[in-house]
Amino acid sequence: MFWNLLLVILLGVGIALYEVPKLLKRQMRRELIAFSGVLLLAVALAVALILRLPVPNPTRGLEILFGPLTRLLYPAS
Amino acid sequence: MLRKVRKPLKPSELKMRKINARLQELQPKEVLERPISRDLDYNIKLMKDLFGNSSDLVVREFHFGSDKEIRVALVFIDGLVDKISLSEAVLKPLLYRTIVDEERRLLPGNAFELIRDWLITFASTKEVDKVGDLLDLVLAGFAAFFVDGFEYALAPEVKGWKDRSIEEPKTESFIRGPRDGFTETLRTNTALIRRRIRTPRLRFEMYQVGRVTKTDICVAYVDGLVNPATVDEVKRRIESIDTDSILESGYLEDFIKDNAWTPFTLLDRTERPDKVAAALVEGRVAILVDNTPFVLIVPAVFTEFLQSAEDYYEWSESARSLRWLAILITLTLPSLYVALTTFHQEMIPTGLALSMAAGREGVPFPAVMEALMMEITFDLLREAGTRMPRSVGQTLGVVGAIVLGQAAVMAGIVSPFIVIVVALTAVTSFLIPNYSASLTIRLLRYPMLLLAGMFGLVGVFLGLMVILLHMASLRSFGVPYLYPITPAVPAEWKDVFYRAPWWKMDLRPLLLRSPNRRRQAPGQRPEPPPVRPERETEAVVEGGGRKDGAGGNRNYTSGMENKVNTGKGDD
Amino acid sequence: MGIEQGKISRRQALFLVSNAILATMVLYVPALLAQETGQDAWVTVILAGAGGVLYGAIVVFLGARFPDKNLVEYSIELLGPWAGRAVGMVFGLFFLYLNGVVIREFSELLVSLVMPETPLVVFDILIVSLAAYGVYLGLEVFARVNEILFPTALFVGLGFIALAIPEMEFYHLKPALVHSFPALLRGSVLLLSFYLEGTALLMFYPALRRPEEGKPISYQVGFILAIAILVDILGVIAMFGPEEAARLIFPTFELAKTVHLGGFVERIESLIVGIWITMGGLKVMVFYYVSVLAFAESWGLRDYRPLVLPTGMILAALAVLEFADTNQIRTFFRCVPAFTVTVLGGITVFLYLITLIRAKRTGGKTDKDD
Repeated sequence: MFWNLLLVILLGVGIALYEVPKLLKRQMRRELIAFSGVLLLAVALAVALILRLPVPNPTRGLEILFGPLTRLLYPAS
Repeated sequence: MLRKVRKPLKPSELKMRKINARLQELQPKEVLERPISRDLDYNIKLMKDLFGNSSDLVVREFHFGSDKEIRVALVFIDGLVDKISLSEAVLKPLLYRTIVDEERRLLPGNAFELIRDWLITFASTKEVDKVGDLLDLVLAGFAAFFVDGFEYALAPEVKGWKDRSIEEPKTESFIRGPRDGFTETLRTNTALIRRRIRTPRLRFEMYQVGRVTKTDICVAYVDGLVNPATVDEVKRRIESIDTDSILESGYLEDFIKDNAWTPFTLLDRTERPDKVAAALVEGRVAILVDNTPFVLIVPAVFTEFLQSAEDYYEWSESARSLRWLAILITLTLPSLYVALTTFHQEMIPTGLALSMAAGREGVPFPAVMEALMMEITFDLLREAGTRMPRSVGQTLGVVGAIVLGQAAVMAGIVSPFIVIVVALTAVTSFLIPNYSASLTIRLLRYPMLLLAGMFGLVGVFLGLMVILLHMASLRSFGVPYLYPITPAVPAEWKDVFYRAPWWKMDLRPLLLRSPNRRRQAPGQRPEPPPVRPERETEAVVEGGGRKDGAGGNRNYTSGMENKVNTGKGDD
Repeated sequence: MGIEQGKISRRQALFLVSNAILATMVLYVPALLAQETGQDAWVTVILAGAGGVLYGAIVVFLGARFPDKNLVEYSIELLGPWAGRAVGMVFGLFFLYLNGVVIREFSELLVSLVMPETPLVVFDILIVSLAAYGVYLGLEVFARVNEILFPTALFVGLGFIALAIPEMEFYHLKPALVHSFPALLRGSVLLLSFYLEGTALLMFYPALRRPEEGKPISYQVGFILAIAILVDILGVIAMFGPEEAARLIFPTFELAKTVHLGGFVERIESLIVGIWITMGGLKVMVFYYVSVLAFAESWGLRDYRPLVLPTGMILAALAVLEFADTNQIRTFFRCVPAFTVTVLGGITVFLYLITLIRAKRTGGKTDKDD
């Protein structure tokens, strides 16, 4: 678990080291903000998964959302 | 990385200026711009100072004229000039003929003009007034001729040095095809090309690159067949090079290729004038570099590296497909071996699987290690073989075959199957006509092996995908590297997977964007003359033999009617 | 002026869409359809094919209507910045989520069929890395690779089915048209939901070298897919019979297992893995590209590349997160038609209607397609 965590953090740092200089050089502020946001989200998600924190499962939500329509289409199942 | 942000562009510009200043130091501008002096002694001293009494600089002072009142000096570099022509055409007339004719006597006042116009009987002679220009000429093999009291110098082109004769190219030897190869002299090489393409639209444009080496570089193309944008791009890239030396076309290659970090070679190179001529006629650009027989051809695409010029002389249908097979075997056979023996034994037919298991019995390493060891050994042998003096090459073969192959198997270090696999890949890798491409493929075996060792077949396919993606992302002077496979131009596959006969290849490659795409008249397929009981009208002949006449195509030059008739004349 | 500067040919776009749909279709559709409509699956394929071509007509209409804009760009133009961006985000998130599903499917497949001892995450990460590399190199590059690999994969796949013919029992196909019409319709909705994934085309339609000539893509895709899936499903049913085919998880793979050549070459089904890695990898690339591009357009970025690597991490995590086990995948697949039809079909038809209304209001054909 520890190693996985370290790996994920290192991966995040590696991605940042790869992209940020390029973005700064091209003076893309907006892109930098979007990049940082998505990267933080990604690292947080990966860390939460490794630590087995309760992450809401999107599939569950979709099943609830589209369950009625599905039952309408396939009454058998 | 943050440094770049804090400081705007200015310091880097300053830095560039500093670097540039340091680059200039080797040959101070001030001296090069200096005019040639009237004072002969000063000129001589200057030349001697510039060369620092280098032993190959020859400075010969002499007097002539009827009263020996005219002082002149001859400066040249020993070994770069042809001494016979120098003495025959330059020195002799000066020393023996003091009077041109009745009216013109050599006097200190008119010596220069008379020498220039009447006495030096050499075809190409230049007149210079700047030290820098003179230096360049002297270093290129001209002789410098100073006359006391004149601020000009004469430079007859008396180039001549020890030169290799035209030989068969060592790296590309054919069974059928011309046997001449390029040499180290640029002029000889351009002449070899010019002899094959007799059109004034074949252009050779000269450049000089290298602050120290001042290497001559020649961009060759056929005007009207080449895409002008490509030529401009080639020129732009060559002009932007600022380095101290270009000693071989490989230096140039690194500077002008499109993608800096790729194992694939993005330029074709050859020693064969026929290949260069074919490329030029196809609408490509050739780059000749002085002092090397290797000529670069751009744009180059990957499929070309599987084409040998000999394919077009001796038609062998299978050669192309064999090479594709070879490239596949070289790239994947070792990794397939590892993947199958490690992860997917069930895919191997039972009988073979049993004998393979028996062969691997007692081998202390996993299959990946085994394969890696043998492949590295092979590469070591190959590398040693290329660097080794010829006379001991035999020994290497014996050592490689017996000691490393048979003994390793008998000692139980490796299985006999991996020896077969490595030997097969060794052979197939030499089927790839282009040496650089063959090296690349061989290099890529190693990551493939590792992937196979870790992920089995999945790894092999992943590796192939990555290689394919990488290749698809490459370009050579704007032309996609995998063209014409992808972006697919199926009409041109007839020159990729096999070699279609010449009468089928009517068009030049699409993406070379030649302004003149048509190579030849269409419909020139040779056919036996139709069986006719008696001679009929010519109209029947025209209709029956070659299908279409010279219909609608303006750009090629050929007399279709002549051909139609000569084909049918004798039956 | 969009973000994407690369240009692709019509054939490349056609193959991209076909591959993106077919890659997962061959995995799941035979089992699902065998269960739903059994030997009458061919009717379903025809019905769904017709529906798919109709839907495709709407898609290429939108594409040709805005030849220099992708879906997010013209939804911003049609709906205003806020609603348009919301549509773009939904579009991007949909493909992100679905891509997670696809990656998970392929990882499951590789684990269960080829390398049972390797953890799923390994393949998950491998596939995402491959796709990230492709997307980073750009549309032009993976479109080119797809242009050669898709026909190759199709050829090899059909070859496998052809080699399995000697083992097939064609009486399985016999009692024709025994299933009720509602059942057939349900089956075709299921199949159609895969066709809808072709909406991805609208994100790279403006990259076509000649967008005005893109319309045939709609029925060409329908044709390629119908033929491929028909051959596949008939082969599967003729081989196993409808009941057993419905029980199998990956019937196409089982079909490949029966292939043998002259008693020497046997059990070459692992080669099928190669086909799926290429097709699946390229499908993941397309979806990946679509979602990243949709995000970048919605947020008004100048380049989508900075988003590629972080989105890749999210994708890899999503693929693990989405399903607790293989069972949930199976049950989720019941939901997919409703999900896809609502989101993708909804967005496309909505934009189509708005375009029509706009055209009518501004006086028919006064605004040109330029």
